[in-house]
Amino acid sequence: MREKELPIKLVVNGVPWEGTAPAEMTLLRLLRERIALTGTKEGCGIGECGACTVIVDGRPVPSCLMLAVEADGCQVRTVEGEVRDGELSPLQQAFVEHHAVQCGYCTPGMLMSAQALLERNPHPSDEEILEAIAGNLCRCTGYAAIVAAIRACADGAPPPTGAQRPETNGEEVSRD
Amino acid sequence: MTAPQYERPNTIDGVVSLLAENSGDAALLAGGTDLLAQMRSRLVRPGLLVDVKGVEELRRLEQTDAGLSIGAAVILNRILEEQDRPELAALVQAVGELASYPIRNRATLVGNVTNASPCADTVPPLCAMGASVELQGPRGSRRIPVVEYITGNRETRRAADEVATQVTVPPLSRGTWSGFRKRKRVRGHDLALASVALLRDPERRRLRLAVGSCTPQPCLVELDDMYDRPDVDEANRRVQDGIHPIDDVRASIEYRRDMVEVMIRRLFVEMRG
Amino acid sequence: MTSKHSYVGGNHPRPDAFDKVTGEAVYVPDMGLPGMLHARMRISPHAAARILRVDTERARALPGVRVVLTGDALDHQLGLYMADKRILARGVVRYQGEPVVAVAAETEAIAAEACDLVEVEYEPLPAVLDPEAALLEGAPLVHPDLHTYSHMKGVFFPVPHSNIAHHQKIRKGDVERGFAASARVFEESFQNPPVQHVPMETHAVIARALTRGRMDVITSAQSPFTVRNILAHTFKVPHNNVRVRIPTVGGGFGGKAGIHLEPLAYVLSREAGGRPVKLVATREEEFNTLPSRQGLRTRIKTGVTAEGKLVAIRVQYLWDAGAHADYGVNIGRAAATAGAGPYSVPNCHVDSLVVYTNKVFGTAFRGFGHLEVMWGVERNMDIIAHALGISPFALRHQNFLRPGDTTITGEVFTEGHGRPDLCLQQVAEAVGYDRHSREHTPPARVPSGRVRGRGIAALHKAPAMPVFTACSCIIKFNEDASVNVLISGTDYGQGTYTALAGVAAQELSIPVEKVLVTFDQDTATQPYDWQTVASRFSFMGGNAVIAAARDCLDQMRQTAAAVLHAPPDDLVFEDEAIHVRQNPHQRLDYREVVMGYTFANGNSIGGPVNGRGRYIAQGLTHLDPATGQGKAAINWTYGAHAVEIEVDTETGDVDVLNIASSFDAGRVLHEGMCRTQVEGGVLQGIGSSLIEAFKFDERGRLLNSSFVDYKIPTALDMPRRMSQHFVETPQLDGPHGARGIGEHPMISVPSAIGNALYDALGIQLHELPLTPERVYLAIKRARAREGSGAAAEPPKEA
Repeated sequence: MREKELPIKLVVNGVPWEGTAPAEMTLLRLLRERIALTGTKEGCGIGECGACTVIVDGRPVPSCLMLAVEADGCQVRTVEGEVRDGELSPLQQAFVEHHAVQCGYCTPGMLMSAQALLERNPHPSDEEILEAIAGNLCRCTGYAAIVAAIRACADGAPPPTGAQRPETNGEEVSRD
Repeated sequence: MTAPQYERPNTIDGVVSLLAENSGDAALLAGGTDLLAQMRSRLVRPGLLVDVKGVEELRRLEQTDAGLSIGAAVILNRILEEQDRPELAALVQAVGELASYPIRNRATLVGNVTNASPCADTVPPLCAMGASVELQGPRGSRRIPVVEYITGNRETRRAADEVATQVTVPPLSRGTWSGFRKRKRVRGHDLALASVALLRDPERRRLRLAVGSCTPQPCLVELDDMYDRPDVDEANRRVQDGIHPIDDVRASIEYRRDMVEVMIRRLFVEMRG
Repeated sequence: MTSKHSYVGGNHPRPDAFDKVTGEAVYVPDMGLPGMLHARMRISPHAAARILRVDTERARALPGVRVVLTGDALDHQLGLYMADKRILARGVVRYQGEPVVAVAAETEAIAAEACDLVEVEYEPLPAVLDPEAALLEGAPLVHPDLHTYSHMKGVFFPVPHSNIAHHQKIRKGDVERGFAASARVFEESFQNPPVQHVPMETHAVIARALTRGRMDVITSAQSPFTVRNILAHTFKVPHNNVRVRIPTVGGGFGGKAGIHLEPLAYVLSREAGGRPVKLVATREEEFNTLPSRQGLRTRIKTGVTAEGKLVAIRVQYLWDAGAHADYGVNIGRAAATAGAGPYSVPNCHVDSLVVYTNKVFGTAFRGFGHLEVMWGVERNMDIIAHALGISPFALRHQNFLRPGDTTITGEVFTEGHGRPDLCLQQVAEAVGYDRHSREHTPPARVPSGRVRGRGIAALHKAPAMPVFTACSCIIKFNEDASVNVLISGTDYGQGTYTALAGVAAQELSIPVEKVLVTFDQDTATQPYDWQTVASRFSFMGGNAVIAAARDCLDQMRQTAAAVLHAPPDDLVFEDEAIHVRQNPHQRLDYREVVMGYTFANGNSIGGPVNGRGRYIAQGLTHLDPATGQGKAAINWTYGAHAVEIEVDTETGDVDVLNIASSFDAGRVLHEGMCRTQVEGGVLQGIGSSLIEAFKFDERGRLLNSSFVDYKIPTALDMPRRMSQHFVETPQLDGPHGARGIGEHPMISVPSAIGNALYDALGIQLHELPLTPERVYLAIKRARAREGSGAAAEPPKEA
């Protein structure tokens, strides 16, 4: 016997979606199981790993800690929406070029955190990049290539601190 | 097995009646970052989820004569984005070190207080600042200082049919200095092993020190008597007398006590400028 | 050979990156099959207990529940090397976290609810929680029936009626004589806790039981043929009955190298009448139920000459295997063969004991015991160096294995083995170690404030694998002269496919974009590979790919020779075409040949080109059970790290300012893949160094089974600077001279940091992880000793 479900209307990657979900279903599960968008991953279910990060009304959030019904009326962006007209976004392209992807499981969440950062702060310092992605755990890359990819995407202007970053092996990450 | 129901009233009265009708079985939902994790592990199984984010006045973050009022639905990042007054430094620092950026886009300050975890990062600064919680229920509204509101590990004075509608930080004097420090196991997201907030209010001649993660209820030590000659050793002694840290998977009693002392000393140095 | 398609050593994009950045890549949790059920497990709350009663009635009655399974229905015992594991606990539980009941239901929520409804009654038994206790006379036996278990005879030697799963012995020379002849003798002990791999994707499987004993298993795993093999043996069906498929895998690090949840998912499906069953471990189960990295206690006694030449080493490795032997026995074996470090040691005894305890069991983990072993070995070297007043760099330099030396397992070191000395030199220069160690001595009294220190550590590892380890590859041409490379080593992030694509493209002289190393594994259609572990895939896979590519060229050569009327030896393969060397205008495009060639009149010759290649480990021998002598390794990769750290003595925080890492890779097959493997491995090493450890309570229950209390490095925990360096001493039998480097970046990171801490503080640390609390308390105790006038703890000299 299916428990009574709640009606939900939202826009995902620019496309309206209408359906129902049980009250306790998370936005993550709704996306993966009802909207067939499996790009966003579940890594822990308690908001600690960042693999489930999506953008809701402009803000990156842990979708495993949000109920589907709480997203009613919202604009939701997932990794699948970042490709436009068949082209990778500059950030996606940078991830590929900088080898910022290994197993790929953290990648969708990482991309959404990073994309949200660049949208609210086009010139992030290294410290700001690290802060923005500190909630996205990666076990494979050691983060260096990810930071390099995000940095490369940040609008070409030099960072506010003016710290010099050699672009070779041994890139220094400036902090404090 | 019954799945929970969900309601999203648009008035505080609506919230209160739902709580009253479903006493004990309803859970308030603001950020949901604690509640959903507990539901997932089946530690709590509310019959009704009452979403407070539909109430417009609970989304307000505003400066009034009564001070800074932070509504129950105000997410933590908004505090970082919209508050830059130097007097609130300790609170802003604590919020900035709480969890991670995406979590702060959901989690609320009022939720952090009313969940009443002994590790709550906002509680020490709020206690040092003399903040209070406003509750609304069928019997009316009341205001309780945060330091008295939390009575133990995840225990508060909130009745089951009351909702915490806001936290208010009273106006702090011009020139108030405050600072916050937190000990973690990693540089990224972590709960506090121990935390300390220090505040000096020059107009009211107040010196207040609050410690987190070391007691079931908030620990606030008033050092007003040493306002003119702050004595960090004495301050530390009073604090150490007032805290009862435990040995657990995160840290030992010894490390917690010693780090509280280190953080107190560092904050005193910072306060002196 | 043209340089137009020269990819080895280059930096072409990772082909699988595209699907991963768009969200198109499919992992097991993303998959579903019609009629699929969802499974959940109920785990043991006790470290050791008898199962008195299991009542599943209420669980079965829950609507939506299809199968409730307990261990008494399953009489199988399985294991990679020792058949000591049940699919579900039967009669007894052996660790807190062991699966006791499994439910398959229409939804995951129903399955979880049903698990809660099962009533289980236990009688707790005395548990043994550390290897020392497990070795004592009268200790509770984790496996009282150990002597009845089948195991890989001749390689592993469990001791009946004990908790010893395996005892590996290495005996070289005469250590007692060696110690007697030594100027100084040191005794030290070191400790590593168990840790977890923490792949971002937990273990996940979908299994479908088909009629007539067949099965289709889709799993997040590293070794499809091992999963197939063990399923076939366990359920006594022909290999052909078992199909194992692996889509994209979200990290493994050894934790997915063997067989884990697959048998359980299969039996659930069988009980459900063949409906597919999906079982995805929760993160808590990943920590509590799925395996870990064994803990280790090391006791090492070292004799040296006055100048620091190693004379004798006796070392005991006590491995905390947990409740099952799994890979643990092989780790005990392999780490023993490397157990004295990359040094020439004339007299060496190693006793490596793999000991059962009532805790979550250990499995393969990046480094295969070598990070744990090198923590002790490389800390020991520094302790000795400081005691002798010799620079740690110089001590290592004079003792490194050099051509003509023999290793502790009797292997003769050659020019082609590699250059640990060059690796150490590179990293020492990168952090200014030499200059620093000349100008600076570790403080006699613990300093205050923030202090800096530098440390170095060397490392080595060979692939640990059976003597018959093999790889095979098929390269099939498509009509447009692109190729599919079929190979069953798995790329779960480490990037081997990217390197192999370059190898294939270069060998065939085609654009690398036209090489598809098929990502998905399928034992029904792909050729055999042993396992993707041990840093052997680039080496063995590379060789197999080259052989397959050459086979393709040979097949094309035959056809082309006939068409071009030229001797086969006169033909050149260049840029997707074949031409006659002396008459280049006589040419054929690959396209014209790879599906067969058709003459103008319609006659056709040749046919579809499918190249076959294989590679089997060359020259390995069984190790002598009493002495460990033999040829254990197909190759050794040497390396080193140098690190500069800053310690806040008031809090114990350790900040890694700079870490330089170098490996003798033989040949860097792909610049970006090698560099990023190092970056990732170094961070994982930092996790083991500064943060990670399982914590158990006094009853053996795991206390940190979620990310709340099991922390791993975040982006903010990255070192401020990391550099990667490579030496290229060709491995003569490696593809383009390459050796593996997948595991090595993690090894010895903790040792370098521990050595740097001594440099900064004058305090010797023996136990990992070097958390702020541990470092702080060590500083506090040292200051207290100074205050009381006691001398700093000297190294323990015998």
